[in-house]
Amino acid sequence: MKKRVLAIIVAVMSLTMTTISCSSDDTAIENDQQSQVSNLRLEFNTNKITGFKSFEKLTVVLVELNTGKEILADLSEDSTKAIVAAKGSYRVTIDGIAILESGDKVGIASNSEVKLINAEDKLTLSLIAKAFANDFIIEEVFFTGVVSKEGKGYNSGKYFKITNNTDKTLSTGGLLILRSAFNSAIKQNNYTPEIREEAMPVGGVLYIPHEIGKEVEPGDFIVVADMGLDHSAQVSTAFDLSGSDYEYPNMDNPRLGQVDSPGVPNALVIYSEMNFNMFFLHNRGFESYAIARFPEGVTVESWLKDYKYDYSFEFAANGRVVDRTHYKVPNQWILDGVNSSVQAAWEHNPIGTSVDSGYTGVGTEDGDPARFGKSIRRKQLGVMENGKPLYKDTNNSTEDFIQWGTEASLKNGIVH
Amino acid sequence: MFICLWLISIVGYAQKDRGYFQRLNQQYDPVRQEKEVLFSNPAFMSGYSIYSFSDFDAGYGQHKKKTYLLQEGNQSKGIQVKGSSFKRLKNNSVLWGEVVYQDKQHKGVQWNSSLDLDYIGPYVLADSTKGTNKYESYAFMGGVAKQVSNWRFGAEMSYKAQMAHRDRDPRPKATTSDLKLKAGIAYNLYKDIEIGTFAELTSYKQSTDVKFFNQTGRASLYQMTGLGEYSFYFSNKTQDAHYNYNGIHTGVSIVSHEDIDFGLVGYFTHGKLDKQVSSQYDINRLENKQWSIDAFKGFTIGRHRLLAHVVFSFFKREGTDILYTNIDTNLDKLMERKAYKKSIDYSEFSVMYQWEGQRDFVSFKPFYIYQKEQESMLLLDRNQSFTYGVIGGMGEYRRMLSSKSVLTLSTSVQHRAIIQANNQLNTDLMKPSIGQWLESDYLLKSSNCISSNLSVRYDHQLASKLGLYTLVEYQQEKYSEFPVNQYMGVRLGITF
Repeated sequence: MKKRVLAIIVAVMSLTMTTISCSSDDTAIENDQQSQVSNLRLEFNTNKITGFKSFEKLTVVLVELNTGKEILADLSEDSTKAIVAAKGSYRVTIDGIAILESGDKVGIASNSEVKLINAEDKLTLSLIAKAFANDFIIEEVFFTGVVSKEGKGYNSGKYFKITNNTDKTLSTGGLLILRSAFNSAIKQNNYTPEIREEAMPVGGVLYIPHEIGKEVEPGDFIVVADMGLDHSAQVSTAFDLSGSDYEYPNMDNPRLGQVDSPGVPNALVIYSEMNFNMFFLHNRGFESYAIARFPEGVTVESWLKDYKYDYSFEFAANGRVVDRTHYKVPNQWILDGVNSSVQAAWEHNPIGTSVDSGYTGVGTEDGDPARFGKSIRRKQLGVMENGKPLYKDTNNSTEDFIQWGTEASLKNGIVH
Repeated sequence: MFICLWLISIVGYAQKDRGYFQRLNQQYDPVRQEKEVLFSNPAFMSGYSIYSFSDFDAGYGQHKKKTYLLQEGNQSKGIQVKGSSFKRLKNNSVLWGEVVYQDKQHKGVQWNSSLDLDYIGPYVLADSTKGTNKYESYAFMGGVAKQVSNWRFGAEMSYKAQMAHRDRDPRPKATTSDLKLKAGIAYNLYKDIEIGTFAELTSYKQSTDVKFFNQTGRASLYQMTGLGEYSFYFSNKTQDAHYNYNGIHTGVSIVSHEDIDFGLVGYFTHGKLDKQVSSQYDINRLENKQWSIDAFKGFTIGRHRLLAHVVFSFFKREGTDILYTNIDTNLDKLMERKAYKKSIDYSEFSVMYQWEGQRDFVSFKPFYIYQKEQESMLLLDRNQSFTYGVIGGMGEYRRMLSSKSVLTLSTSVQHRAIIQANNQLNTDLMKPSIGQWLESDYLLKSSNCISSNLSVRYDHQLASKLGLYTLVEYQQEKYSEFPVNQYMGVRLGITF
């Protein structure tokens, strides 16, 4: 009988336990949610902004590494205001306008990273004045290539469209076209020395010698193509670039099968990290591009001699430290630059914030098959006095370019 | 072990000498099937049936869906071969076993490169490409139970392996193994009133790897985290996902088999799942809990049997995101936080009526189900909930055509009415393709649905203890304002 009583007690207790366990724990979860939020306060170091007085505009973008969630905060009114964000690992980008003691205004930018793990966190950011130049801008970069009607990829016919966005005539002589050394979709750790706020690490440089320079009227553009020929003769979906102003065919690597168009002057590849001195654009655009000019006294030879960039980094995956050598171009020499990536893969910007505090790209997904035939292209603000397009240029490509890519402007050939 | 049990039962089958019609009635007794929950405790299997029986069949089925959840695909077809057996031995012992083999194709599967969403959802590895999954599974189960005086003891072991792959980019290959060990005990308290308890341990593993042959036009791969969210860092960078689940399922019951003919069964299930990518990064954890109570009461008056049955169940699933940082260091774990929650309240009420005559057998069961599902991302203003009321009935009529032939007609019909549906997903903020996926699923989940089933089975006795049967089955599913889904299947089997 004792056994029976014991068995009944065990049964009743078990059923009771299962019933009690049903009680809600929503309150615990709500409390837990509260503890997942952090108040971030930013402090700004304005030592590099000579005569800084106050902020006219101060925009902060926080992007969380794990979720990709973006928080946009406007601190124009009160730069000490706390930003409420879910805890996590964030990239922080600053974009704004500062008012100087003289009454002048200057574009400002900065970027950094921060781990938000406490209820209250702080971050100090060094602000940099944006470098605006009264010179050419990059209107468009076509790096994706096209797909034939049969579905085969055609990886040539890529181009830079460089536009005179000023009200004066400019010469292309001495113009440099820079391709970044860093991949925007692969971020390693501890780049040492980290120079991006002073100079752009480059993996390839094109140079238009003064001898073949040409005058470009306000609002007009030049096209610098890999091959200045009618690519539609090869693949019907490709573009007619026979009217290009410059080209940079590679004749050193016979496997590329590139041809040098006799009527199109060649831009010189003065540096390339690639074999056979190739200057080749990533077809998903995981790199950044810029245009620059050497200052007086700097020649191609002296730049190659004096502007090596020896650095090291740790592989993010395993911590192994490796040394690398590239070249660098000081940000002060850069006329315009654009960071490119795709949202799903973007990890960092190869160009510093003073040149471009945002990034653009073609497609939102890595390997997006719809990217072919599309380019990164600047937004048009209006027209100049001569009726030519006037393009937006705030040194923030997220704002200045059409997101995320649009149909290439030279689809139907080059028409000035 | 499973195959041995299976062979023992085949070789030594011991069908008692009954009429063919009565034998089928006992083998497919609907009342016993309604009490199936009781036999989760393997100790009670010693009272499963006073007869031994076996069933072996091979079948083909084709499901064509015009209205479907994207992760399930729009068409499936394939074969299934199944054998099951229950064998009474002489010393109050029983053996039972089951083997199942399936070879299927699931077409139009999207946003799901993984298997077993019930285990791993929402943490699937997903892409937007529609593909055809070739699927194979093997399942073995065997058990033994013995009655000694007032005690019953039972144990059961089961193993299931699955494999699914695609032949076109992206090419996921998913493999699973699912091992369950179960033991139970029951004690006779008074007359035929027994109490019992059991525990089942589950060890489940799944590995999914995705390969691309075409490196230039690769689709994006997402490590999903729930309601359209995905791990921003690990999506596109990783092409694999590995899941490890360990769980316990336990229950207690009190039952009177015949005197009072009632049963009360309480269950609790607790399981934890870990998801890992790149063989080193744990990125999600999932914790499942479920509480259930089943109660039934039977009445027998002559040849009339009545069984009232109620089920109350509450299921809760909580997901944790593991966050990483790559600031200053290699990729290191930063923190963990609860990010996902799902719950299901389930109640079912049914009454089964059964009547058995000399040449006719009839059963009918009306039922009503109330179900409330809630799913939410805790740190985002994002949630979905559905409340359903399902009313329906199922019936079976078996007719002895001759001493050697029997015809069985089965039918069921149910109407799922949506009582409440809430969709707070902000799909405008998502990637368009993911937003479209969730909107498409929501339309389906928030629709009323009428589903019906009709099957015709013909049994023919070949020898005194051997029967041959064929079964043809048709199902259809009609969501309001959407085209009809249809299923057709055919099976050929033997009973002995």
